[in-house]
Amino acid sequence: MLQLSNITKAWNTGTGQIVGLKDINLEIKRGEFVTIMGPSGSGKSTLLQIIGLLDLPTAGVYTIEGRDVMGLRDADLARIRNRHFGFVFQKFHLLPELTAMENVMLPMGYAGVPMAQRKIRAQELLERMGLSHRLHARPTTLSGGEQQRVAIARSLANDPGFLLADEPTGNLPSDQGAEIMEILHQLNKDGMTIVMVTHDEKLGAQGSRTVRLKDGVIEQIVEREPWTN
Amino acid sequence: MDKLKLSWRQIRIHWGDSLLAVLGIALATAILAGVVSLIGSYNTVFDRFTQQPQARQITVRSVFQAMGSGEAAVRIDAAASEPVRFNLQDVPRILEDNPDVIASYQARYIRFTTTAISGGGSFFGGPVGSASGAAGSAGSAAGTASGAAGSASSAAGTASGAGTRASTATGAAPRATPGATPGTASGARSGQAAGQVAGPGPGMEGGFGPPEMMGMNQDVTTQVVDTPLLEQVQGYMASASFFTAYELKAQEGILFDDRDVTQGNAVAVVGSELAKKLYSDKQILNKKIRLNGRIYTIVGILAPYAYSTEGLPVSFDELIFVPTREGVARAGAGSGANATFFGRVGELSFTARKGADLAAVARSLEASFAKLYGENKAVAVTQISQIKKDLDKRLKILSLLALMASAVGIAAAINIFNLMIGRVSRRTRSIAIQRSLGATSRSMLEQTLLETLILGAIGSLIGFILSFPLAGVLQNILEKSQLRGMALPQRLDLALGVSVMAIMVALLFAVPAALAAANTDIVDALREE
Repeated sequence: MLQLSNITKAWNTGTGQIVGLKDINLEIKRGEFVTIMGPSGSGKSTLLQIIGLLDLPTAGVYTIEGRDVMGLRDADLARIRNRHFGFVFQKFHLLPELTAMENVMLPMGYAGVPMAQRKIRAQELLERMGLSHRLHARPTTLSGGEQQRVAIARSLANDPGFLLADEPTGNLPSDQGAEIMEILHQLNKDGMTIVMVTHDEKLGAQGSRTVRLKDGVIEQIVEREPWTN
Repeated sequence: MDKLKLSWRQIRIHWGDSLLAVLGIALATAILAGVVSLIGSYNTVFDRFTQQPQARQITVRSVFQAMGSGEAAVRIDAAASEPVRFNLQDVPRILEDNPDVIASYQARYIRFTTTAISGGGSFFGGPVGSASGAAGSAGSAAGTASGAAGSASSAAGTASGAGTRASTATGAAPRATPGATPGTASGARSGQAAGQVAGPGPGMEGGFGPPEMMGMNQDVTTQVVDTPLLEQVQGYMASASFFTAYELKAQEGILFDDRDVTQGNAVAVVGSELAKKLYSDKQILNKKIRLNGRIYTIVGILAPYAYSTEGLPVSFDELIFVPTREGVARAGAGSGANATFFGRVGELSFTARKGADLAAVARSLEASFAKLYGENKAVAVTQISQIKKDLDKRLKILSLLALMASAVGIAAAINIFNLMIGRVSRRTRSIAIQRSLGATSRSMLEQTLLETLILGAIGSLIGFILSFPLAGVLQNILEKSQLRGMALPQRLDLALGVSVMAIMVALLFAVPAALAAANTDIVDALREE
């Protein structure tokens, strides 16, 4: 379980302070599919980055599975990111110098998984994503949907508890976007907790819970029945 | 493993500037490693040379004689400066004053040439030819002339200055001969006389010492009893301590000693190589050999010289050694009540102890001579100083090259700095992605350094390999004089050291980029715009 209490994020600028998030209180339980929505600049990406430990809040308490992560060192934060979170970005963010396989193997390398196991697991994940024919392709030779599927495979490499997706379909044509959503729902059905940022109302409505942000504050939380196609 | 692969990929993707970086490192490493290893080689050779006996020889000669080469100077100073002669009896005192000196000796390099063996002294003809034979051994005869003249009138000083020249010597010889003849032993008229002239002259024979300085070219009639195979023999007329000075030992028979010298015994010691080819049979001990009309008995064969012959004109193994006749047997000259066996000489050689500071020993010797004979009457010349001068000239050029190579190295290092900073800044997103996947900032630092390490290693390996032909080319350019013949050892260690250093410098200059990589802000770099 992820628990955010009174999380505030502010940036100092030359002239004053910009407040990105203010007193956010949010709990994300295992198995949920949370969508974070809001207009641009509302702080939804910042919230996702704080959840994923890519950024640290200025104030508040954040616990992951009951463990306070506020004062941790870089190496510990990296370890938690590596084991507990999988990231899927709007622009896929695959390493262009590596093949699909190697991209998927990368997080396992940081976790110290032996090479042989890395290969087996990467291949298995890519096959699950329907990419068994593109194992050794470079990202630039893949379509957007294929790249995002590689990214999802990579996010699952260390079997994390939480998959954090930031506009995962934002850069894709609608059919490929639908494919990606299909995959996310399938993963959620299999037990993966998903937190997805989107500005698309239709996609936002596919979550079991929607957190609506405005000007860095939670405006509304909507819970609904699990989405079915 | 992954990091290595990733680094290699990065290098391949940016192959253009990678190549540039590698070439820069290679160039700097090649020049610097080549120059440094060459400097090291020269120093090694020089160090090795200093371990040899010939490097530790110091010659003290009278200023008067030292000027002999430049005649003008001699002419001007001849009237003013009385030729100083060193008393051999002072040698023990000089040795006592200079604990770093282990031996003192006189030696003169002589080239003996055999002519038709039809009786002694065929050169100048006649039985009295022995005397002219002595004149033929110009150095000593000339010295005799000059000595005689020097003490008589100042004008004669000029004659002595030119004394090494045969014309003067020949002219002087008849004068010397009568004086010498009474001292001549009863034995072989022709032979002995020749030997005696040198000795009993007023005891002020000309130069000894390094053959290069003396330019001893005089041909001495050599007649070998028992049909020798060689028409020419070279060797030294030396005092017994010459063997001590050069650490020469007998492998067969014995070496001659001080008594042989003072008693004027006609004995000879032959170098190991010469011994092999002097006669058709190998049994040469106790054979009689006629050198310069004088019959010598071969009493010993030297063991092969234990050191390299660097700095020697001819290996000792090829030479013959006979007792010096100079400055000794003065009593034989019948010069009166003073029946000393030692006379005066114009030049003395000394051997410094192993490891002694030769320049310091030379200064100390000069001081000792100044104490005995007056200020500025003697100069001490080290064998090594000329070679050292030669070496220093080279090292100066090489140091300059090393400086230039260092400049190239700095340029290469700055290139690495720019390159890596550029790469890291172009790669912030890649770094941020890796960080989001669980890479630590430290591993990003390592990644950047690893990439530099690969570039540096390739560059410095190429440089290392190229440094050897480069050092060879440099050496060929520099080889012109004394050290020419010396085999230079490859200083692999130094070239390797420079190459390793090149890698370290490259790494050092990549540190700022590595730190930038480590401190990349993930959120900034991942911003979706």
